[in-house]
Amino acid sequence: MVTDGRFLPRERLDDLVAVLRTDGRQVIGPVLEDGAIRMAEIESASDLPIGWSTSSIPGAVRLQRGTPAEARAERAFDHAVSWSGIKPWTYPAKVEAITSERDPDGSLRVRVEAATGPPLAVIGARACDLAALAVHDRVLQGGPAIDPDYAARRADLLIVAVECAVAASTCFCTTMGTGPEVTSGADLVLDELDEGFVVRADSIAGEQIVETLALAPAAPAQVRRARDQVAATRRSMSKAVQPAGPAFEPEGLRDRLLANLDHPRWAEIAERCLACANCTMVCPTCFCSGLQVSSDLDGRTSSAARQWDSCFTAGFAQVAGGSFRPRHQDRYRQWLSHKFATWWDQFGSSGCGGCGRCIAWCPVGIDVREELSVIAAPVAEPSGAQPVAVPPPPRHDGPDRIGLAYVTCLVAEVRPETADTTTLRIATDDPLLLGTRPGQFVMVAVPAFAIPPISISRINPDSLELTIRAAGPATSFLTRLSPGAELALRGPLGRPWPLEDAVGRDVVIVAGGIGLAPLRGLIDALLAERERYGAIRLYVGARTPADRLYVEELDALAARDDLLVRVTVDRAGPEWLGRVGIVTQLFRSVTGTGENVTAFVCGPERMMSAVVEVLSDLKVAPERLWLTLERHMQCGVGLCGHCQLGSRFVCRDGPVFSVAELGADLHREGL
Amino acid sequence: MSDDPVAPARPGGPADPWHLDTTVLDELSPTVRATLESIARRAEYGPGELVMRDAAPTPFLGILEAGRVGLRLHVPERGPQTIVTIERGELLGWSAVVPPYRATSEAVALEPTRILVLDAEPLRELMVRDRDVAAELLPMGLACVSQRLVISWQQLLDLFARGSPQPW
Repeated sequence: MVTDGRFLPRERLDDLVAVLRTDGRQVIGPVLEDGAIRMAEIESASDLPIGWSTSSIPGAVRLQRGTPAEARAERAFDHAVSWSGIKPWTYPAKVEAITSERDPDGSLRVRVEAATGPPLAVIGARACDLAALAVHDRVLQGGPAIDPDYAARRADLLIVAVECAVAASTCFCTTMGTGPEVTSGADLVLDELDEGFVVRADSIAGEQIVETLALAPAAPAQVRRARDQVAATRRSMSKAVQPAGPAFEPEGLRDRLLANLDHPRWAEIAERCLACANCTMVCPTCFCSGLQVSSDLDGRTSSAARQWDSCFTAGFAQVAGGSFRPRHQDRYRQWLSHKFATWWDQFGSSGCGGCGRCIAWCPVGIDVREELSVIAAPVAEPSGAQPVAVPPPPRHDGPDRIGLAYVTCLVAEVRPETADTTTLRIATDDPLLLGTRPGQFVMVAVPAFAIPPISISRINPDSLELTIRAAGPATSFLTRLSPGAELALRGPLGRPWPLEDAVGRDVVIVAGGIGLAPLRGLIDALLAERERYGAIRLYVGARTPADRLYVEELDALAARDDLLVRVTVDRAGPEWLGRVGIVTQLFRSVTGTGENVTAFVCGPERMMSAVVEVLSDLKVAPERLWLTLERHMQCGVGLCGHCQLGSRFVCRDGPVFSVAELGADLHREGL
Repeated sequence: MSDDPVAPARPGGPADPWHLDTTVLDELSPTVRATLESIARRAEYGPGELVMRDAAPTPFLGILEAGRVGLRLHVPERGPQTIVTIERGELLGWSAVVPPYRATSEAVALEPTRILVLDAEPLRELMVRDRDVAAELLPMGLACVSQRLVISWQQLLDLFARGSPQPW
């Protein structure tokens, strides 16, 4: 604490706003709007909701106006949290994130954008708002990737916080340990009394404001009343916040929640939940975003806007084969278990600040406190599941920082593989890209299209190869490019295949469909140092003979005497004399043990599950059974939140995982 | 490497210990195996030669000793479609011991193929007479049916097919 106990008379509140507005700073504070209180730009203290308070219950928020005769009638911050918090200002609902332009000579430039507006000051932030901001700091600029727009807005943010003099029935900051006292994150802290404000500065910038305003010390009685007031708020919450039923106990919540991922309550909530996404929109810590691409008519210029997305939407976990979370209960479980459990693994804290907005603004009044008290009760509950310590997933040694820049590259060669799949050879001299390791991927940007993640199928001394299946508009466009076309790559991204795990051991590689693409670079690397490995066996499945990738290469591999190659197709006409059946059939004649095997598998998830069962039966150790997973990725660097699988970001922590690392999550439906 | 399962995994190395040269017969007790071999005969088929006709009485229960057989179904306007292939060591013609004793698909040799044949009627008579043979053979046939069922389910899922439109 830098300066304690100054007094700002009520009539000088406008002076404070004026000081905040110096240097062109945009000041954000609570205002009345559309029958609610939200944080918006203010020009003077008169814009604040003077005399207004709010009351909240699950599913309802009401504005209330005191009578002029009441002593509190002139208060400006006598309400509980605003519906919006400050997230719309530090992490706006929609910002330009990536722009693509073709110069008149046709050359392509792809730029990652950051905020360039005036610096911000916030007045009226609450303890829970600051807790949420600290969460966003960890998520969006804690690395390894940093959101440049957030970092720019956050860099010069000035915060005048207010300690809550009232709490709504939906508030539970005391339970989450985030309020109502403001303990960190603010430059100035105000306690509003009827006659004015007790002010304390918590930073150098805050102290400068106090000096500029030349505030006199507060009277000891005023300081005492301010402390008593926030203490009374705390007491009112301890009486009021718990809904009926078992207590909501945050201690050990992560482990209890993860031990109850199959609790029947998830399905019961889904009967009430509308999947409207309101909770995620008002949540001050929800950070999931998507890219919305818009383009001019000739396709020369386009921009991708980063905009809020929600794990409740049907398309959030969509990939080519369908959605990983098709049911409401899957999406509600993802939201709640992320917020209160897996967030700890990802960012070292809870994802909830206890503001209660998700409760108040839920149209059907679902109360997370009640749901958590049932699903993750402190004692054995109806499911009979015992609270068990669920260890966080192992982390790989990825880079400390992941760059977001796009590098423009040239298509050097186009090689059709099947009717819908093409391999592009991309020439580049970028040392980072040429340092790609097998199993990694890139985000591929071209103007006017969404930016897909594409696995790198071969690493050459002067180029990378991308094998792309036309599964949507962007990938269809990419498969139709001609030599000489330009595209931009972000990468290499993700965790590579752990080649070192196979040294001195037999290697089994299993590929299904387009899953052969990320394994191709692995095969190259194994054969480049063939003497380091034992027997290498490659098993490949495809839908039909015409859907096989790299046919000539596979024939050449099959002709080698130091590699076993077996190919099967799911269905075939009479002209096909090779094997027909599913990939796991290729292991029917295996009677040896897999104890000395390291296995690498890529294909549709159901196929991989079946292969894992077969290889596990053959005693391939789960620590040496490696899969690469497909999830919906919009950024590729762990910022957009789309590709989460339990506590993992598939793009950043994977896409390569061992079966031991995935544990029960590998087979869990709807995760 | 040659696709022969007994080919060495490394040049000059031992036989690939991963894919060993076994057949379903190895799962039988010596007595039952000897009994079956006493009524068995060998048949050879050239590439494209019909081994069994769809829906016709199943002529035999066979164990492939070499080659590859495709099980096919005819689809109007698409012609014969191979559903699964059978290789060395695997059973062909499980319907020879399961009522109504009719083949559930056409079987065609895809390459030179040699089969250890147990003719259907003598085999069924043997199974009635010798319960040890029946007790060992029927689970084997059931395992084969189960395996084909799982394959069919997986094919039905069409795992490699496109699902809903991809966002990119």
